[in-house]
Amino acid sequence: MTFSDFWQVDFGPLISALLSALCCNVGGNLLLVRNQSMTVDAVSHMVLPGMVVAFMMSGEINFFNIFWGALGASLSGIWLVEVLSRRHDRSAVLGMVFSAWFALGILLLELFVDSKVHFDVNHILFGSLESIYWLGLRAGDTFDLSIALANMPADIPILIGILCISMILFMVFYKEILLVSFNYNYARCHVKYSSFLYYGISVFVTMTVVAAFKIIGLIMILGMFIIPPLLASFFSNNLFSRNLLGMVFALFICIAGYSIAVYVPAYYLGEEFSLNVGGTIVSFGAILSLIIVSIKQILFLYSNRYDNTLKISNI
Amino acid sequence: MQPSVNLLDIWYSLTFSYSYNASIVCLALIFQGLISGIIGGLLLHRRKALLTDTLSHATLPGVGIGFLISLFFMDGAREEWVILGGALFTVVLALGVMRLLERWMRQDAALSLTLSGFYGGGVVLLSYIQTIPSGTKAGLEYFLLGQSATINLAETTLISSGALVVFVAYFALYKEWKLLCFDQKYAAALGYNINLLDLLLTILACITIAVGIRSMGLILIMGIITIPALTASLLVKNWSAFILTSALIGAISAHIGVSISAGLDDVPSGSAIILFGMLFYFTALIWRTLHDRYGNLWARHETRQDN
Repeated sequence: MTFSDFWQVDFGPLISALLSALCCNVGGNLLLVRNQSMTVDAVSHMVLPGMVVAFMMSGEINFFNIFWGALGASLSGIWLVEVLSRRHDRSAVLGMVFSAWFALGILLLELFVDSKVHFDVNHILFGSLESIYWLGLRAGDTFDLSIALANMPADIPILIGILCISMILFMVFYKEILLVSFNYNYARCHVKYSSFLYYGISVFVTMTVVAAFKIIGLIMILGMFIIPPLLASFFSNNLFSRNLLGMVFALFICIAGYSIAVYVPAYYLGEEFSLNVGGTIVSFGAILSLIIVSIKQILFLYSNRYDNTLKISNI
Repeated sequence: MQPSVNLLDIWYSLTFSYSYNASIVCLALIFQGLISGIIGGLLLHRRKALLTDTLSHATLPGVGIGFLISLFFMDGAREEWVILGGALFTVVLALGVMRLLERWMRQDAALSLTLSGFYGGGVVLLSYIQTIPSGTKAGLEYFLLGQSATINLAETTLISSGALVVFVAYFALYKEWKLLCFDQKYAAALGYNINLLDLLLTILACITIAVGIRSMGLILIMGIITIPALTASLLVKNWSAFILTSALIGAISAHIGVSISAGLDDVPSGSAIILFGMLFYFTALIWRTLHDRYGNLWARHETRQDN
């Protein structure tokens, strides 16, 4: 594995994973303080029928077709969840609607999409990070910036745009977002457009999921929405600094997980072996957060500053 | 590419006279629907329905571990009970991790952290299995989406024994479940061990999920646990009738779904079951809405009450 191999093979997937993780981190922080982290799981399963319908209607895998189809499917699913959760427990409704949407997607996929086409459920579940190639990026004499930019995968500028828009929106509406996230009822008394903002955050999270979906797949979406914000929440109680800390953690987890997935099996088993990148990144992050939360709890138990009895929360 | 429809096959499959293998599959799915309905009803009352989602995703590394064990220690003979045993092992492990994490962080964060960790581990394990040269790994991907058509007698026996455990636990501890669902503080005051009962309920959910991933797939198992319970909660108010209705709706939608899948080419049985359950749900929702708005629709001579 030489340096020019890195630019040619690994740089494209790595930069896509990093950008997607940064995008997911912004929405993940907001969902974590709202106790709605599992919504991401539901949304990321709901996109399937929309993607299949968009593919059936257009006949080609284009970013914008897939984006609008997936956005329509997941927004309709979230709307149904919000309507039905007035009658039932929200978590049960979430589970019901996402499994129904997923079942519909599988049915449409089996009925109408030819199995020879490069479009199957495994891509959606595991992501297609390894299949991103950035041609024309070479170290050394043949590097040419214009060729590299011309060959850039279409997903990367879209991800950069989403990241910029989300950060600008987050900073401009920081006060309102803070109020709506932490105390929705209080915000409804004081802010005129609070319900618009509340559901706007849901819509924004859905858009992030849909945009990052085609690249990093379901598993890494789940992980990147929960793990960096959770790691950041161990160290800070301020939403803004949590956001920045989460970005640092997201970058660290992505780079470390990518190295483990690609270089460790190549070193021990042979050049052609590698693990699934998304899965490795997510399991590395989960193990890291498990270790950090355990250390934090042990320090908490043995510190004399607090009453060190564990609360029994179940009764 | 229109699917070929054979209505007669659907009828034969509904009346168990299609073929021996199809009847076996039908029986397995009916048992699965029954226990999913019971467990779903209990979990819905405990407001823990989303626990199912975490646990079902946690089966994926277990499937990989079971496959590796059968490959390395049993000479490559793919025994289904080893794979399901591996799935049960990781589900119970995930349950333990989650109950530990629940004390340390928000419940929602604990659920999704456990889900992503175990699911990510499963994805990594499957990508490692892909590199092993072996012929028997071909069917492993069916655990994601389920494939009920190839269920044989041994797997049906596995599913029915899981169902038996759930039935026995449900009827033996009927009074305790009722107390736990309605008023757990009262139950604790009476001297019942709430934590133990809660653990038992989640372990029963683990068994239901572990035997169900073969037929329903690890994503759609969430649907067959929540949909019958939500439908039954629209239809009846009485608790024991609610659990019974939920179990019956699960069994009926499983039976009709798998029969439709037998008669129509290219229709996967898991999707058919879930979508038929949704049909039930929306019918019940319309009936409930009309009932709430216009009073009892069946009693014509009573005074209508507007609430």
